[in-house]
Amino acid sequence: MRKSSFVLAAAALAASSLMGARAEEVTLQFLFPSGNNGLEAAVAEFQKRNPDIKIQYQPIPFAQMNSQVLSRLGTQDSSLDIYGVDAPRVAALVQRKFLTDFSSLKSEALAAFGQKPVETATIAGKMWALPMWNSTQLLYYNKDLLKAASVPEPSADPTKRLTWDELLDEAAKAKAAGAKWGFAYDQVDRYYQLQPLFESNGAGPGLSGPDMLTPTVGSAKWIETAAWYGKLFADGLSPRGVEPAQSPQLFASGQAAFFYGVPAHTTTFLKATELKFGLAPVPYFEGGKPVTPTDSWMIGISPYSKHAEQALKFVRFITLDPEGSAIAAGAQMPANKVSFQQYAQRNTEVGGAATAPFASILSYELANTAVSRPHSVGYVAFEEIMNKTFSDIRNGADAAAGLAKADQALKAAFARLQ
Amino acid sequence: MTKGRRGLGGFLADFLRGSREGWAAFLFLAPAIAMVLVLRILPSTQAIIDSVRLPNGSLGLGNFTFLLGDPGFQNSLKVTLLFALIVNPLQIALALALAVLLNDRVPAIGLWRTILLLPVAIPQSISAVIWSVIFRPDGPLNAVLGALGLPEQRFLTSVDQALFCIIVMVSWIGVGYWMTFLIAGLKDIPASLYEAATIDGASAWQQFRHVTLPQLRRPLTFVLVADTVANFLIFAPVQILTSGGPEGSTDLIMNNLYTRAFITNDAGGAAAQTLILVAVVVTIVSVQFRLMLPKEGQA
Amino acid sequence: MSERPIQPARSVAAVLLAAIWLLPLWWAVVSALRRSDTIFKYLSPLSVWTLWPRDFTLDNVAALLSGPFLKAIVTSVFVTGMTIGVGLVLCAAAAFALAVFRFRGQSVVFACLVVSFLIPFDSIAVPLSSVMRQAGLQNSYLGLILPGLGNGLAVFMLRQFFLGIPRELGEAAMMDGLGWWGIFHKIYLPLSRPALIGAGLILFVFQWQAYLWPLLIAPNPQYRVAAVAVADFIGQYDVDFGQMFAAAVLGALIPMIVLLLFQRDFSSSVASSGTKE
Repeated sequence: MRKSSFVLAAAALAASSLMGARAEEVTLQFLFPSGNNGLEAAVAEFQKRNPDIKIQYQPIPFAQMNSQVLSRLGTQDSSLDIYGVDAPRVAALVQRKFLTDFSSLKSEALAAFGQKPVETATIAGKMWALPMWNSTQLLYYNKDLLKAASVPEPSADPTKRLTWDELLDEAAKAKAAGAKWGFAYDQVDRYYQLQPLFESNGAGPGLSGPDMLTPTVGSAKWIETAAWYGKLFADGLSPRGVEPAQSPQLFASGQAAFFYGVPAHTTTFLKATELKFGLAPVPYFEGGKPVTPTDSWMIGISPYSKHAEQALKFVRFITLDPEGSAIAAGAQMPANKVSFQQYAQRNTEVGGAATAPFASILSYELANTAVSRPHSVGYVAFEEIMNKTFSDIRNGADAAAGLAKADQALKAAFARLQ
Repeated sequence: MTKGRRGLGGFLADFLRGSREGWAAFLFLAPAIAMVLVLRILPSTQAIIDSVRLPNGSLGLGNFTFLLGDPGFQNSLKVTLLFALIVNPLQIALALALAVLLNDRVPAIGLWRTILLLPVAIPQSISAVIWSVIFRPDGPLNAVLGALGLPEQRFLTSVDQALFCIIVMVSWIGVGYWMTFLIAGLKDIPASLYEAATIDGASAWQQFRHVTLPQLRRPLTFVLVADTVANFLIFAPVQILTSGGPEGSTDLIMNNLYTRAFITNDAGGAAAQTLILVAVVVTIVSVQFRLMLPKEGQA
Repeated sequence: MSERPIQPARSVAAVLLAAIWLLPLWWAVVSALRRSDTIFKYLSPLSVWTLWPRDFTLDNVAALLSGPFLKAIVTSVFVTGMTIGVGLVLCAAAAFALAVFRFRGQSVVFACLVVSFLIPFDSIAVPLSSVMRQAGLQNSYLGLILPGLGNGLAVFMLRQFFLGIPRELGEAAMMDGLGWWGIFHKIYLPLSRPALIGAGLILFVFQWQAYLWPLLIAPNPQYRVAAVAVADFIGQYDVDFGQMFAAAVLGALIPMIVLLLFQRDFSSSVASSGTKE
């Protein structure tokens, strides 16, 4: 009898383990800004390859992304597994313990992305997110407007780029010859766009100290550069009162001679049938270094997630895996070196002569001139205050007064950080 | 149906006398009040708790003292009060004028009323984009001014004009909405009152002052209070059009609050600010009630 | 209602006013029907092309209709419709109680209602969403609808209106044997058509314009409401203005039709019936 009951027990055990061997289906919630990307396709592809993992993709409007993430993680919502991390916000998220440590993947990451993106994701030696996309900038010029002003087209060679003085000179000539605007910024008044100005002019990022919580925006160099920025608009070279969303349209509709913006706009500009444009590397301050902004979205895993292992599988797919990252990027610039090559090649070929220098300029900038935004727990408040200050200066406020106020506001905001 | 008397004896007497009434009232009230309590009042208690939690983790009134001394908050309070002083009389006068205009005796009146009401059905983010275009220094409004021989204006890029631009935009959205409530109120005034006034020889303006306005007291109170509150809570147009600038001249209090809550991530400061805001608005609304409906007290 | 003659001066003023009011929306319509890169081309100097599409195209509309926006409109219509339907009953009942009954604690209840719409909803949205998530209401229609049902402003507005209805009507009906519910829906409600439309409008605006709340409680794409779907066109680097304006226009059409339909109820004057003094 003991033998038969033993056999029964063994059979029951075997049967139950067979049933348990079919892994239970796991659903992961993935929060990311909506937009022109391939994440939906990537989710579909991943689910095809991993039938026991389901990804609930939740795209939300870009402007709401950061506040949504903070609200949900702040209430320890376990229903959020994977989410997009805007590169400069890593430090703040780490401080609030909203990210999972990825340090074990560091060597893989270095091989896949190179050093700079990994540095951005690294706080105090540990890596907290995986870079998914990257960014840099291009100088677009309107061929017809330059021809009308007898201005030579800028060289596409990054070692022979224009200085700011030269560019503004040519922009003024173009304006005099009939262009509505000589020069336009893509993301006017935004720190991301303007940080290169201050770095290139030797003013530094505006934050210093071991924690990057000491504002330096009141320095003489900062005032000088900010005043230079305000002068662009006071002189009428660039328009006031046009918000960033409408800026690319200034160039697409043929009103601006030069446009400084993200490479993604080549697609928009190619669709503007009456526009003839070319690409060049962005300018720099004479005596300083050429600088471009960089970094874009990264992916993190919530420490409150109940399925970290499966979540990591998906995150690997859209970042480290060259095939997956290419699908996930869609029209965006992937950080993964292998898929970046495909992206660059595709965009070089799409516009014929107009986009011929695309790959060479981008590769050069990413490797040589890219400067990340400062790693600071107070970065978000810093960016908000600086954006408002830039906007005021653009609208005519005195640079010294505006920056002094910003300095004060920054100190007050940082004092309120937990 | 007598008013409830104070005192325990009076309370019991009322309760026993009106217990059937009390139960009926309870049943009518319960669902809505339950919703309001659970979905509005209860979550606000979180704000009270958060407001006394300081950044270093201890409890105290430090958030309030910080706010009252913060130049950004002081500025937003000033801007909001200035805004309220201008926008409320303006909108109510305009809504009243439009209500009288579109009350009757116009063909296809329903169509015109609907057009004036339509902006309230457009998502605020889109209305903001449209107006950001209208107010562009290189935009159509300046083009019209130029065609009329008037100087071009700086609109949203000017410290002096930006707030007025916001007023224009929110009025475009809201005036048709408030007008609708006043038309409903006008519809309620018996024609016999006007006929009697006409027989007495009253002019149109006198009829307006002595018949229309007194009869409109209740709907007007509603519009006054609701509009005041709505204007204190304006946020999306500011966030999208000016981010509170230039130089904080349009930093209405909800915009300041949002920045504090979601960007600076100062939960304690944001909660304290919410409480201060509610206290200010409660005060103003109480004064309005007292002014508009003195006899009935809370009525 | 006595036939009151049409006044020409008024009519002209009304038409002019409506035309000026419509201009910004008209520009949005025109922009939706233009090629995207020409939307901002004709702002200044003024030309006929400012208000009439030069490069007419239906591409934006086609793109919009083939995307998820239509479903978002349907969701919005459903959620808003339910909010108005159920919310009106709840709010009118509460307003009736506050206007007609006399009971202890009435002023406290009234104060609660007033305070409830003084509290900025966005300030309590985050703690509220956390509570509702724990109740399992995330990603559900109920989660979207619930906060819109108990609207203190609507109750306040209806109460103001009910206070203007003479108590004698109710007392007379009571003597005829009608209960409270009978008085409510046979006497007060029919007399309050315009006010009910007004209250419906309040409930409508709250739910139709809701943006932060739907994102917090229902981020899954199938629960997308129109106000949020429109924001999806505002990308990080590029804004699809053409589709965005097309969405705005399409999104405004349904409320416009509904509002037009209800204008007749709005025009009927209660005053002529002579029951009010």
